[in-house]
Amino acid sequence: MSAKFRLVQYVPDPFVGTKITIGALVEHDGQVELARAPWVPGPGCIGGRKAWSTMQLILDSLSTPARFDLPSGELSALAQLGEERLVPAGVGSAREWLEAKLLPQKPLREQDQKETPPYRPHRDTVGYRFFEQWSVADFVKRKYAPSSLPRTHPKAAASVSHYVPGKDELLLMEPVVGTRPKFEDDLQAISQEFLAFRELFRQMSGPHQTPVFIAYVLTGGYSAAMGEASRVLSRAADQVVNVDDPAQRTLFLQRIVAVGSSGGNQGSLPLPRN
Amino acid sequence: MTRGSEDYWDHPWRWSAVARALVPSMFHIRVKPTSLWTEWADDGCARASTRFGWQEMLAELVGWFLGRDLGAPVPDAAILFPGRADAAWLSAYIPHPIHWEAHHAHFVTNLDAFGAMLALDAIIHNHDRHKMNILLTPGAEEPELDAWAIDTGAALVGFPADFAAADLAVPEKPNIARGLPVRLMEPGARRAARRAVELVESPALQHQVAGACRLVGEQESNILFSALSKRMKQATRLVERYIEVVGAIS
Repeated sequence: MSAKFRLVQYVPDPFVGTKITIGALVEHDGQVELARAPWVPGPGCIGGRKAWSTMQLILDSLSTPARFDLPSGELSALAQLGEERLVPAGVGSAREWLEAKLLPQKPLREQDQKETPPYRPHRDTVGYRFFEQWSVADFVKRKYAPSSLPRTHPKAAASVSHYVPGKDELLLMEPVVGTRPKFEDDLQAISQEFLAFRELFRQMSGPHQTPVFIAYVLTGGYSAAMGEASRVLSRAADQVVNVDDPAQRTLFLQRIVAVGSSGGNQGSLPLPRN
Repeated sequence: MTRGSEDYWDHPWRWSAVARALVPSMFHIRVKPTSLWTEWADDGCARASTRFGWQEMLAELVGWFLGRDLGAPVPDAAILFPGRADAAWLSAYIPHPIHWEAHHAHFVTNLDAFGAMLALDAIIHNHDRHKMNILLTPGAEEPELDAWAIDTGAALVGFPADFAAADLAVPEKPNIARGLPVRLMEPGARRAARRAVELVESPALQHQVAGACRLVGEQESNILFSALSKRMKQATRLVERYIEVVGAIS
């Protein structure tokens, strides 16, 4: 007769409803035992030390289970027991099989074990990735911060993320990533930066090319990003481009190539890769 | 994940000897070891589909082996209980997927393989490439993404007589995801088309088609092989036309 199991899930906050699989009750030949998940999340992931301790108490209470048909929620309202499932035929030890094959495992790589979220890429990194993807990165330089310009304030007109120097035009470009947590702060910062550079250029009568301030918007799925960027940057930017829109993107990429080429940059030949 | 690696779970079910001979890599798929298929059948991560006819299963099979041969990013696959009424097509578990959205186009890294998907769809006449049939998984570094092509069950190749009647037509009005980076996918699609032309000469193709038909009980193996061969010989032409079609939509 096949062994049966029921998943044991811990619900640290019943109002949120997050379930964490922490083990399974196993029944085979009338014997009931607990299969423990080889890995469970730490306190930081489930709401703190007390929540974590409760989870351990639940596991401890089930360590010698009296019955397989224990009603869900009887041990604790935060301990749910799932429906009966069959262990596949041919499995030797059901408990060992569950612990090795089904229950949550400790991630193998160290970076996957961290409880603190990794840093997300900077805005300019995401923006440059866009240029790489669309094969114009050879024309785009990073960090426009010419030493010839005076520094009136350390935070004013520090640098522009990306630029394309041409014969007659200088494209000064800032990426706008719609899904960044500080999206509105980003827009304000870009606005100030563009306005500061405009003022510097006016005072210094430079550069020799016509500067064109462009914000290019990667919505990331936040459809209002373009509208908000256009509103905030209406005075500061010459152009706000939605690069998720194929038509706008094509024109933008063509302009980069045209301006970059005019400045003597030949880019790279699109050689076929075989 | 590589075949036979620790990442794969040896599934607990029996597989047919025919399937073993046809596609050895089918054996190391990561399948949630539960007897309740339906629990994970529709979550987009892994699929088990019980079919009422063999046509979709045949379309999945041909799409799978040809996709592999052309370099398209198709997951491992298997058939559960082949030859039985409750047979099901299994697509390997792809961890951490999301569905296609146009704003992801800037960050897909496996563009050549992704392009091969277009060639595959053109050749097997698969009109069903909506956004849920393209999975994206996190790449090596954020914001990079890897694309996967799943589900060729609606391809005309599953209906050998209709497939032959289509001759060299490609889906002219495919139900295709919007915002695909077609321009970036073109080199991969063209390379896969050239690969398809080479594969026509391979004796393995006829063996694969015959094996797939045998698995699903399809009698028209010769018709299917003949139609598929003809289209693969003309793959360059088909793919160019399909790039036009998809480019106009995306």
